[in-house]
Amino acid sequence: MSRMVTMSSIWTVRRSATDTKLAGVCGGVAEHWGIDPVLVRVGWVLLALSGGVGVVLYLAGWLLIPLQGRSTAAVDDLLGDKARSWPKEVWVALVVIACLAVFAASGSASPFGVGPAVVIACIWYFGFYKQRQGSAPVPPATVDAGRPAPVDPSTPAVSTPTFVTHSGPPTPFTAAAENWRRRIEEHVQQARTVATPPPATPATATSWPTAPPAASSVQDPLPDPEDEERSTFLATPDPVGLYTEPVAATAVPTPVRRRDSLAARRLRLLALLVLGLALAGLNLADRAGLTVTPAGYAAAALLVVGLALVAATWFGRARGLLALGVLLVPVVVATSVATQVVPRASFGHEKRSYDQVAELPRTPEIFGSGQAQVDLSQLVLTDDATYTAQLETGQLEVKVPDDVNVEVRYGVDVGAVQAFGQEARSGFDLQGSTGRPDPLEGRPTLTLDLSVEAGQVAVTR
Amino acid sequence: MSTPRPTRGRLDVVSLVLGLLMVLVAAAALWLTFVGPLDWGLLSTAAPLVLVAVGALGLLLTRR
Repeated sequence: MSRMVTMSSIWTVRRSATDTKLAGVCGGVAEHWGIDPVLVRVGWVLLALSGGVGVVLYLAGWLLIPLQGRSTAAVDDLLGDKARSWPKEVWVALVVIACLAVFAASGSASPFGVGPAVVIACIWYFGFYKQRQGSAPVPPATVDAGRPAPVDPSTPAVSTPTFVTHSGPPTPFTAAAENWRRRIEEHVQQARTVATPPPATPATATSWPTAPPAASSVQDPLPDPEDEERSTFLATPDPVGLYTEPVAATAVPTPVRRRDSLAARRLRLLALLVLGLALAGLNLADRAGLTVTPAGYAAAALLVVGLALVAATWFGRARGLLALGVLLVPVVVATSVATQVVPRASFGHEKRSYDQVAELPRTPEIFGSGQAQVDLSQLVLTDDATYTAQLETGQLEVKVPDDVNVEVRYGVDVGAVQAFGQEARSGFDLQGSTGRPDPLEGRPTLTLDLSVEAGQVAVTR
Repeated sequence: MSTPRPTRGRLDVVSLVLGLLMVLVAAAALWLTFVGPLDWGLLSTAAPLVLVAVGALGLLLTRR
């Protein structure tokens, strides 16, 4: 049946209920196109290496293609009737956008680029699609039950089929067949009357040829097997089941969920136990001083699930184990990448020292998180000058020269301000200014503009 | 997801292949977390080879 389906009827693809590795998408596509499922799976893996496009397409197939024997897709079950009313073009557009987004995000990291996708597309189009389009046989005309097949106009009108008469006792079937034969004769007769002038020959000459009378046993002692078969067929009261209750069409068997085996369930429990122990051990190590990042926790969990899946090769795969692993993979990748991308240098202890006014940065000096120490104690100041610094979290400490006036303008979202050994203010949203307790007459003023989001501003001598 | 469970004596190749890949990803992430940076030059060569090896193993066991 599947081989009769043309390539254009892609909307009739169904996920396979029997040939499944993950969700039956590749099996369904292979069944629909009548090709080896292994080829489809290899193609999907190559597409997955093309910037993750294959993964997006598989997930889309999982969500959008109904399972065999079902009329609704998974997305219909998730989103309800609203999703069912959306046109197909919307879903196609969403899938294309998702493919482009994933490729843009991970395409640079793909080891093969778009090469596999292009190769697969060429193979599919030139080696499969075009060949089928060119050699696709013309499907036979549909013949409904009880209706005669359409007459080929090139066929001469006189070439009519030979009807067979039944010499035995009439049956409901032979009676119906006789009535049908008469109707056909009337129809053809009317058509001839309209198309051609009435024949001059006697009506008996145009009567339908009937089967030749049975030959005598003397002339043909051996009966014709075809005649015997025909007689047996017609002698049957209802040879084609016209008058019996029609048998209901065989429904497509709904896949039956198999219960996980005992070994598989035990393996799943063991995996959960090991997973809990591993996470608890990492937590203890973290408390003991070993820094364990979220990527470490996720990677440990993925390692346990992966090993459990390897063991499931022999013990059977329990439901949920594979889904957990598939969910953990992007978490591990994301947390690992985030750990590498976040600059570590911004968190820690940073020091700056300036001796000349010309060395002071003209734009605000920005620190990340941690402790920032700015040493201005050796700064030679002849005129007024300003130094501006910002810190996200931590302590911003500025050491000022002893022989100049100092004005401190501070802004702290949450934390405290210390100036010359005394706490000026503490709390939330601290804004203000302060100066050295003993102003110097005739000396230049160094203005410090210091901001901390969370932490402490400290000015010392 | 109604995946036919392997009967006695039949291997679940999908579990093996995906489990191996997950173990490799987890090992790389653990190395990054606790040991140090990965050798990306080595990884760019080893990763395709490992993928091909795992895929070949899967095909071999599927056709067994």
